[in-house]
Amino acid sequence: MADPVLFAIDDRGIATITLNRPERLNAINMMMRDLLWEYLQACRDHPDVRAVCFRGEGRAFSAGADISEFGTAPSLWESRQARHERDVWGLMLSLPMPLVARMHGFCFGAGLELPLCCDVRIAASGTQFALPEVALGYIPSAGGTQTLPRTIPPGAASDLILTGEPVGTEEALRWGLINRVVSEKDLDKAIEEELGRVLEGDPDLKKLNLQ
Amino acid sequence: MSTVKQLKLAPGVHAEDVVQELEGFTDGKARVVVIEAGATQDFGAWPGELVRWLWQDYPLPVIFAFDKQLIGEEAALALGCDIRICDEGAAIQLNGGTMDKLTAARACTLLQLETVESIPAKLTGAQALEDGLVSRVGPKGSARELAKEVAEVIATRGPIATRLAKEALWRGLNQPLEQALRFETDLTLLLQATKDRQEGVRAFLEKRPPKFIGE
Repeated sequence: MADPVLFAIDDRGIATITLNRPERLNAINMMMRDLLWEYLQACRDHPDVRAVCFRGEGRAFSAGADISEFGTAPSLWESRQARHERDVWGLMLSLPMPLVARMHGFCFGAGLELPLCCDVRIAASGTQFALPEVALGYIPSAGGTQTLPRTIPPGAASDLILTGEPVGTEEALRWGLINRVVSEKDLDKAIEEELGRVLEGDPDLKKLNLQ
Repeated sequence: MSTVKQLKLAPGVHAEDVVQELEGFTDGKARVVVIEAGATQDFGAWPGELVRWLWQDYPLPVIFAFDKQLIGEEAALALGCDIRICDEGAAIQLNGGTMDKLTAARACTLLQLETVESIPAKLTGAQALEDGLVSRVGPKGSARELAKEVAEVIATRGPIATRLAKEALWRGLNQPLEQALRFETDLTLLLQATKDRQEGVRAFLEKRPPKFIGE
């Protein structure tokens, strides 16, 4: 079985984290969370890492959390403990280097919450964005109830969170959920341009500072 | 019985009547409320305390629909709601100078502004959409129907989940991010103990619509 998250650092200091479970639309399971935790720590500790790029293999960035694993924690207390001890999203938000998300296909649930912890979000045209958790009787739990209304106007965030309905790139761009839309064939080029700006130390590129 | 409650602000309606009606919807059956604009000048005060009560303490998601120019106390009421929907001919006049502190603070939050002085005096439907003050704009005369459609969607969602999502969103926004993220985690864990959450996951895996019971 291929590793469900791939990690590489190139000679420019760009770390790439790839969600690699395309047969499940990169649904994020516990093993992937563990790998993300490990690789994000490596990004934090490796002196040469200057930027991190997140991408998804296959036809979606990520369809969200792997629901088939829900309810498998031994107890609520242990579940809480694990979340606090391995706070993947908190770690992302605390990383000092810029984080760039390459988004395409579906970015649902945790598949949107992960990019919300990034500084730059670039999407392919046709990408759909949603926090559909209330449709399954729960709420966004990878930071989405807090990062979304700090990223887009809170009135728009409440619509997305309370209805769980998806929006397209037009709405996403209007409200600042994404920074740029390009055609799918130009997505890699756009990401490279963005990473180039990071490497050149573009002063306009501000590190995410959600309060 | 419908789980979507509708409240039309008819000419002559008073703010106290609205509060009473809204409180009557919290008996456990209703899942979402749609308020339709239509009040007249004798509506009475909708002070900041009521604005805050609506978004912070009122348990149900509230949608405000309008297809006219919204001014004064009716605009203040709209600011307290969770979602605003209008038609393309609508406008909203905020007049930061006459708002009380809490209402102005809410307007600033919704518009992501630093100061009360930055609150625009008037926004057309298109501007309000651009600024995220309203989240949907429909063709002329469609605000009510559009709001009802959105309400029907929310009514199919887990009722405890929508209540806690509302709480996480608005109460979390006033907290430092680190604390707010822990708040979200705690609400998530609270939901893990509900029958609705189990039903939602089971229904998803069985590829059928969930039957939420609010427990």
